[in-house]
Amino acid sequence: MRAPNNDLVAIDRPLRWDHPLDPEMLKRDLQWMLNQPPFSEMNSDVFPAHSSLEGVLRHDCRILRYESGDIVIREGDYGGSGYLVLRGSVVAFLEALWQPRGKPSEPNGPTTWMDWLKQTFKPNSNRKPASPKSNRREGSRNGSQTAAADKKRTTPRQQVEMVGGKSRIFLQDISAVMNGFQSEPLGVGEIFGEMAAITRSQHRYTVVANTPTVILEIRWQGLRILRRDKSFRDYLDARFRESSLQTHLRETPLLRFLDDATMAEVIAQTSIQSMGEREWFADYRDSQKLDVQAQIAREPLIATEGHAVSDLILIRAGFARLSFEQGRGHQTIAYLGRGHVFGLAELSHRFRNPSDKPLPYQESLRALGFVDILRIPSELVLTHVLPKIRNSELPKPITNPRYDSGGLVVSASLPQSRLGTVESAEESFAKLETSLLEFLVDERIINGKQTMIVDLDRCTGCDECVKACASTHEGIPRFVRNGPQFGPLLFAHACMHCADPVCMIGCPTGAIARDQDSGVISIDSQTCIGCKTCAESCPYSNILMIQVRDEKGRAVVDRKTQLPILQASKCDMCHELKTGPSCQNACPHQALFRIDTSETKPLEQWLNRRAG
Amino acid sequence: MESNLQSQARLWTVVWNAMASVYARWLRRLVPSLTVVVAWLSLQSMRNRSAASLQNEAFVTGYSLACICVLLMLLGVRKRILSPQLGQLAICQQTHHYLGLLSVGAYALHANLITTGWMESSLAMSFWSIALTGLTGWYVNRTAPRLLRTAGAQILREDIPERSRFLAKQAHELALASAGRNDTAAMADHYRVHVSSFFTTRRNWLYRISPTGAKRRRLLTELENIDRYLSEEGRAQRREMSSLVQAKDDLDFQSAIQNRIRFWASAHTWVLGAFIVLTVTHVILAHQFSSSW
Amino acid sequence: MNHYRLPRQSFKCGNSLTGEPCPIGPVRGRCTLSQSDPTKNNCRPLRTLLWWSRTIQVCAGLIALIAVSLAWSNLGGKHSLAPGPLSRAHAQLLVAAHHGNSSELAINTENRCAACHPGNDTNSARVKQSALCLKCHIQEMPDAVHGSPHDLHGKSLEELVANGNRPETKTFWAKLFSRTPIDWQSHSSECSQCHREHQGSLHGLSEMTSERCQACHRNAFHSFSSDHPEFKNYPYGRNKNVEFDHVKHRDLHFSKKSTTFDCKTCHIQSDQVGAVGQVFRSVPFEQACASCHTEPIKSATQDGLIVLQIPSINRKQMKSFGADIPCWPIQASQMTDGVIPPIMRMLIESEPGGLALLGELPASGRLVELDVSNDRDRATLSKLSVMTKQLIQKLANEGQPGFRAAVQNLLSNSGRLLSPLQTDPKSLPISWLDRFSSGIPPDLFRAAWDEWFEEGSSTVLRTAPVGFAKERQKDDDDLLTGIGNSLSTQPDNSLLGNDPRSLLETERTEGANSERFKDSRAWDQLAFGGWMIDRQRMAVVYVPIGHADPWLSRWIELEQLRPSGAPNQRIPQAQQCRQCHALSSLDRPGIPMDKNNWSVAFRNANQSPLSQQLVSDDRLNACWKSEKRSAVVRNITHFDHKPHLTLPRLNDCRTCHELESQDSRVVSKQEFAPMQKSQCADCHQKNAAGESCTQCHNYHVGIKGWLDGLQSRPSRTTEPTNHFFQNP
Repeated sequence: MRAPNNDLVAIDRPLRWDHPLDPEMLKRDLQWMLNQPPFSEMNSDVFPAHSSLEGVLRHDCRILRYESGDIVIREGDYGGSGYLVLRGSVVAFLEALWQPRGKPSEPNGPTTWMDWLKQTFKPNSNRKPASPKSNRREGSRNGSQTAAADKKRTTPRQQVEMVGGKSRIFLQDISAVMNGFQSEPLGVGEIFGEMAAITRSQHRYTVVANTPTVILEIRWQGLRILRRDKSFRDYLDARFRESSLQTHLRETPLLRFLDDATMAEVIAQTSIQSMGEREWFADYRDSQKLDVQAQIAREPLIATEGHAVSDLILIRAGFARLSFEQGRGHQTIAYLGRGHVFGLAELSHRFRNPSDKPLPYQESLRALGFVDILRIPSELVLTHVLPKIRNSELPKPITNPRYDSGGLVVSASLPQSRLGTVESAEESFAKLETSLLEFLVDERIINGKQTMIVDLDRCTGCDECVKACASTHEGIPRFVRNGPQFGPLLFAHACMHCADPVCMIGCPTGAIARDQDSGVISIDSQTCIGCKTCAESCPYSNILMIQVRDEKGRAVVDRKTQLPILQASKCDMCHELKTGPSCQNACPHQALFRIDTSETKPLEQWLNRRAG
Repeated sequence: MESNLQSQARLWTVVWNAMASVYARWLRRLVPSLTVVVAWLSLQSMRNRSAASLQNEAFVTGYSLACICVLLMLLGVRKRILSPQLGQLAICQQTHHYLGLLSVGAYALHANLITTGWMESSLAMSFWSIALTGLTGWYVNRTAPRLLRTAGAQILREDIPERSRFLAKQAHELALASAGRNDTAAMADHYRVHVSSFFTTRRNWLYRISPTGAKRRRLLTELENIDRYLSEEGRAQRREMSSLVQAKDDLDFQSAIQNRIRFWASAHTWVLGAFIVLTVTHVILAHQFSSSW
Repeated sequence: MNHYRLPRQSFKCGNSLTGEPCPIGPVRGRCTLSQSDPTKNNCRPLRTLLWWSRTIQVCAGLIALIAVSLAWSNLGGKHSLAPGPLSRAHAQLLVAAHHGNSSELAINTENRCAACHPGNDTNSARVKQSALCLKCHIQEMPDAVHGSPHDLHGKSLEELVANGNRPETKTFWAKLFSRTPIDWQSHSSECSQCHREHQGSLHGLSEMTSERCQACHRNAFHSFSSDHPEFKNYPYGRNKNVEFDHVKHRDLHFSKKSTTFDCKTCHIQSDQVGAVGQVFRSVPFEQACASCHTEPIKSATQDGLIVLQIPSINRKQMKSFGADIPCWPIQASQMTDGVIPPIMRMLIESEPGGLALLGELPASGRLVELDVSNDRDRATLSKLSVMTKQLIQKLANEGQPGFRAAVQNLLSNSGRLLSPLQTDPKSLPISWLDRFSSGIPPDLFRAAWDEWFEEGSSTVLRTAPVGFAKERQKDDDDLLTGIGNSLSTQPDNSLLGNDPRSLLETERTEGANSERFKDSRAWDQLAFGGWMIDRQRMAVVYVPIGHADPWLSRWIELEQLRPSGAPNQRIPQAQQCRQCHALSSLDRPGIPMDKNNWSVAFRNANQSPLSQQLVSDDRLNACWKSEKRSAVVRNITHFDHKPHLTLPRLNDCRTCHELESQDSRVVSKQEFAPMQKSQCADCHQKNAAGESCTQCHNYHVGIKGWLDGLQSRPSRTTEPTNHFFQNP
């Protein structure tokens, strides 16, 4: 490790806004912005002294200039900022311009020399089949509605060129692309990209400047402060509503056959609803102390089994537990993530045989933490949606319902779950044994996209992984080889780079941020002020505060208090070395893997390989 | 058309996975073992050829053995240099295992099993110690994890003492709690006489070498036997105590097995330095004293 | 999970066993707790397993290093670096300083590595190890210094390769793994290539795998029975100095005598051990042959062989032609007759002008053919008479040395050189030449002179009287008595002399003090060999002593060495000897050329012309005896009867050496049926008696000094002559 050294390095405790987003912002630009709407309308009283409006603009914003055709944000990228158009105009493409990029890092790389050979000789052999999302994309491409358009439109080419030292990525022949794809223009004063920033998710659309444009980037810490201003908040919420509604509905494969008019109607009728609060981890912490059934009972109900089917429920963000009453408790069948649909089976049953009495919900849906859902009224679905869908795409008919109009059917056997997605997750869920499923859900491991799983049937505790991690990170490892355990599977205390990274919520400086492409969440040691927010907000306590040491290993302390300066530290997937996490590479017994547990496919595949 | 292709692709993947899952297990062992055998045979034929052309076959086998040893040592280097471009360590590890087997074969070709002379004997001894510890370590690494899984949740080796102290504390408090009342005091006495040492002291060396459940079973049965002197809550406490005993034994088992793994792993490296020194000397001597060829 | 566990630490927090371990843990074995929080004070860190194993690692390495360096610097004695104990043969490789010459350094257990390993303190790295081996082994295998295959060179090696190597069998695999063949012409092998030391005291240095042989002999020998070439007439076809015909003996002689024909009686000598155990090619005459062969030899030699004989010449005729021969015995004066006996011829030849004289004599050698009326013949006769006198006179005067000189002249005339050892008499107690003259009594020749040529002797006529010879011819008895008288001390006693019968009576009556000696034949008086004057034949006679007479055999050798003359000029008794002894090996060096016999092959290759070969004692002796195998060149094959004879079924020699019958042997010029490989292959298999090459074959087949003829041995032992010392 480091050389011991007794004399300490005293520094000023780092503060937020030590590192402004745009260090060389001009005073007059700032002034000019302050006079621009919407900032001119805001009243600066609502802002506390330590974070004034001016301070926000100074430190959390930056002015960007784009030529026509420049790409501002790209669909699929993880967003950390909202963008305000100051001058010029941009175009938002609501459809996918490109096939989604493959996963940045293969969670299950070569494990044995055999796989290694396989991979070297036939590279596609063990690539994971496309995720439901991407399938849906494909669906939307070869749908009948766009079939005609397919010929004339050409997938736009991105081009990169250097302008004034910094590269700009732009689309060729923006106009052609515009009439090729469904697009929506955004003018001065409009905000985009904030949705992804606030929900810590990926952008849903690509935005391209179609004239020379000036855009103000506000990182989401700034946005959160600006939300204090009522009008601004309302504006944001409204915008958030409709845009999220639109984009999501448009991307829902069920609705892809609707013409614009009906789609508009559907959009109008559909209501968006947020269950649970965004900072769900605090609640989760104390609920964890209760036993499982109590936990489940505490989870807010989205839909209750046995109730009449009022709407078709689409999950837009977050996770929901699909369960039914078994004995005195609830048995989890699956967890639904973004894009899954609930209640379609019942509706389609009603659609298939209108004569019978309509079946109520067969299972109940519970919000795990924070969930965004869309409710489409069932009548609308019956009249407009279902007629247009191929029978094959509909879920299997319900043969023996658990609930009918009369209530609970006693003779009901175990349900085959009926999930409303075209490529339903049902089979894969069926393969994961329920206990594991429940474990994953209860431990909220379903949130992890890079979960570190240690196979205890192989792990000898040689600590090679820890060594590797330590030597990649200045001698201090970034995870602990221990944690919740399910049978032979140990879910180690290493950052899972969650689908919903609640750790990012509280961070005042944005030191903890998500990489645009890989989705890896890492902490920038330059900007981290050691406020412990992330460490406390991480539900899995995978973020630890460590004492800062300088290159010589001297402990760094606060100049005033002489107390050690702490910093948050967590796994960063070794993103600086391009070949994936070194822990996985360093395991000599093929016991350690990073696996995306937000979907079940990878886990299930890995379990299969493990069995084989 | 496209769906057709997809279905075909899916079919193939299914077939491949099925095949892999069935055959992978023994294929994974078979192929490298065969490679080792082939390598050994070819080494032998090389040796015979050089012997038959009146060269000193000891040089052929010796140098190939030396190369193998160098490759084997490269694993240690690989573990220290951390660049994932070198591929998974697991692959290196497996290569190391099979190379180790090969090295034993090569050694048998180079020097017979019995060696004479001080230098040579010590060299042989160091080689054998390394080889045997390596093989044992291999075996232990394969078997130990499943053993560990039998003894409750896994715990980090560093945390074991803390954990056991915690258990001891709990047991002590439990005993104190029981001591208070007559209808439960029996357990307190029993604890003081028989159980407390089990929590506080270290297990004997025999257990640490090959842990057995004998003592645990004895303690548990003894504990159960005092039920007759206990009231209801006394029994409840007793059950708690039993579970604590169970936990402690699991902990000891864990530490024993984990130590076993560590021991073999480190024993593998003990005489490495000596081995290198002796090998180098051996090579120099061989060249200096076998003149003219 | 409240802190990260730092991996690969040599130290752990001192509180980890007793209290709460601190999250940071010690850095380089020092607790830094007080740094992070000054209120607490440091713990004393504990050592982890890693620390211990690292320490062990380092210590073990250091110990090894020290031990090795100690052993290297002679402190511990280099021998501790030796890969193993020496074999028994070399274990006593020690030389104390005091004995041996002072220049030689003492070899003790410490520094003796240098005795065999070059590049050490004592000898330079240029020296090859084999050279050091040969420092001691030069005596046994002088030709090994060349490092050539089988210690052979030139034609002999080619011969060996040509016959020893079948064309290589090329199977697919053989092609695949075809080795680079060893160039046997330029190849020089090192001792250590086959002889591995340091394998422990019980390890046989000469043990060798057959693969080594097949490095050069490249045809695949999988088993002796299948791949080894058939024997070509093994082990017979050697020359036989003693021509013993087994078949004849068995079928004729032994059956006639109705005695059992048992090999062992002649071939086993229980008191000796030879190259192949107690079995010998021949045993002494006395043991084997004497019982039958003494008689014929005796009878053949009892007449003795004539050394000198006075030729009888018709002096009357000579005189009538005016060429009288002065002082010539009466008895040899009547007619011209007689033959010059072989030994006398040789003596004459040794004299100056002798050769010419012999040339003038008729080819038949009979003097009768000389015609006195012819002047040339008359001259010859007179010369002959003179020569005869001269010889006797010489021998009488000079005695044995004279005789020796004569033989020596004889040899040098016939272009033979003598080995320096034999030329000077002082060098050896008794040499070959000396043996010629040993035992010759000079008095005998004086007596002969007095009797036949001395003036005044009654048996000598000064001048031939006319007609005298006629009357003398009449009465033999008278002549006899006359001779008898002439022998008596009192000359004139003609009365008694007239009546031999009365003479005999008087002999009977007063035999004790009689002064007259009974005249007698050689075989009566000289029953056991020796010298005498035979007045009957007017000759000096030597009677040999039965078998292996030293004097006679010398002459036979001499005859053998000289360009042989006409049969009538040969020593008659030699025929008897030659019946059994083929003295061939004198002319040809050793064994006759034989394709199956490598030793011969290369001997002939280096054979030098006969005339230049020196007559050495040992070879002269060898040519009489049948060669012992040990005496023969070291052969490519070796065989020991002893282990074989223990097998009951092999105890009868004929199981392997079976005699051909009379007629079958006419076809195959052998008297023994050649041995078949199968006979050996019965037992010599992989898992039985074994079939490794070295079991029957020798590698080192050179003979002492064969390669460079008979150069003087000492030059070999000085090292730098052999190639090991000139390394490239």
